[in-house]
Amino acid sequence: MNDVDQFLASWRDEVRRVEAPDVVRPEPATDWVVGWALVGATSCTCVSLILVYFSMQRLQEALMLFAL
Amino acid sequence: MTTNARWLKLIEDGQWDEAFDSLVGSTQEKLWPVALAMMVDHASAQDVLQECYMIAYEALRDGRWDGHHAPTWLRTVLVRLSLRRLKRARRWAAVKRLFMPEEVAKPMETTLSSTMVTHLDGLPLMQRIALVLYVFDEASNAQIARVLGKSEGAVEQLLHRARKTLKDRLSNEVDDE
Repeated sequence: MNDVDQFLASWRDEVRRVEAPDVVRPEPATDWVVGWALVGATSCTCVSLILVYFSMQRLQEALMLFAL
Repeated sequence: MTTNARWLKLIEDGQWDEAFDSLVGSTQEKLWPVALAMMVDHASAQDVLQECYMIAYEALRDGRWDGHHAPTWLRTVLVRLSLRRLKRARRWAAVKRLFMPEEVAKPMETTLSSTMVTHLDGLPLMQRIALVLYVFDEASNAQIARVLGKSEGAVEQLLHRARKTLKDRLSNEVDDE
């Protein structure tokens, strides 16, 4: 057996000695959970921005009245 | 019923989880050494194998793959994923060598001996992959050619060059000692 064949044989032995890891099964439910979470988060952000906008308007009106 | 027929029946019935377990059970033992030999680094090999099965699962569910020729299909995906990762890793290593030389010196997380890692890392990527398929998958030149998208003659050249590179490196090692 020459050097290269010896190297390949020991490479094969060393690699085959390593136990295969566990493979995790994908969760198909994740897709729609993430989807709904995104929709929920986007809706909450929009509602908050609208509320902030109207509150600012009210505050501005109140300040104007106070100034007068 | 043979394993193959049972597995195709599971896909036909839409029992994806059982089909996935059956696929992993029947192919992992052969794919893992190929992944580890290609990536060398234990964590990267694990990532590549997991990603390969994820792609298979999604392809089955979306109807992009009918489950036929599973070992060949998976082997091709695994090789392409590994090649992409190895190319990225080599590009990144070149950048690191310029800006963070101390990072490059960090050893890989592997059970292979350091001399073995050095010799394998010195092989050009296509030579390394052809050699892995030849040694660990016991694939013929025609099968390797199909996976790599090359001619049989080109694969023969790759294997010949890989052996020559290894021979030179091994004889240099003996001279150094």
